[in-house]
Amino acid sequence: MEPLDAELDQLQDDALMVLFANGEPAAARILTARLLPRVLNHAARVLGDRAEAEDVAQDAMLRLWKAAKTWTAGGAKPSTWLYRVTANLAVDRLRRAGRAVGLDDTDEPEDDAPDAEARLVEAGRMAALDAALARLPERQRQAVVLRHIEGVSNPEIADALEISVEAVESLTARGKRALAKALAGQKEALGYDD
Amino acid sequence: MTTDRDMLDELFAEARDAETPGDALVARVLADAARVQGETPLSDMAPVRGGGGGWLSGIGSWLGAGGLVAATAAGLLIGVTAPDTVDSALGGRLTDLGLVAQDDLVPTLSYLLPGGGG
Repeated sequence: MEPLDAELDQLQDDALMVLFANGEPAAARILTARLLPRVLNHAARVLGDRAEAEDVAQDAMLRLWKAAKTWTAGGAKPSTWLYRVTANLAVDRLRRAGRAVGLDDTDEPEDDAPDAEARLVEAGRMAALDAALARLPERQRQAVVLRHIEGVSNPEIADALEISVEAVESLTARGKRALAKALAGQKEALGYDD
Repeated sequence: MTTDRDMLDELFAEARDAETPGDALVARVLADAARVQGETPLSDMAPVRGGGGGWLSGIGSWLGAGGLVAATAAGLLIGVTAPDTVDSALGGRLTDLGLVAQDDLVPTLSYLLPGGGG
């Protein structure tokens, strides 16, 4: 890390956004180092496809750069804003590809789909997780990924997905139950003790 | 024995660091950032206004113009009164040393009159 980057690395994301808008290239490097891995991880788990996730991550970051000009320090958190943009971009892709399971929060995944098992055996734990996530309704999937994988707080998820905190709690609880059910009986195949 | 809940938690933990951006993706994102920064026109940072106010913006509008007038008047006053003030402040030592003639300290416009000397 360059000396200037190390100094600016002490700043909060929103202050870096203002610096970025003022033409400071180091701000772009630090924001990318902080936020791109999270955006990519979020998109990859929701989409279950690395190449598509990279496209979405790049697109989301581009939108962040463009938003910098009107960003207000102390306002919205750039990470929350990015999670929202990433969630919307990912859902758009799923819908265009006809892979969306449905937005209805009450939907539950169907019982053991044979293709999920086949993917599981072929591609290991992440593919198994992705396959199980892919069977969750969109909002459940987004909430589970943000809460349990990205470690985002419930109020921040509520802000990102534009729903209530209670709805987040309900989505993550049901999503986790559904995942456990989808992966039940696969412990040995995934390398866990049965 | 691993419970379903333990397995899920382990999978989540593994997924947390599963995707690391490659150099190519980072380069693309930074290239986008540089392009967006380069696109910000200078006019956005220093708006140029049309009409007769253009010259005023260079000196800080009417407030700046007022300051300029005040500074000019103060400079004129200092120019007229300073020789006496300086000599007085030094206790008349400039005069004692013969560096300043007494009549030089009194401004005169006599040279402007017909037949007036300089």
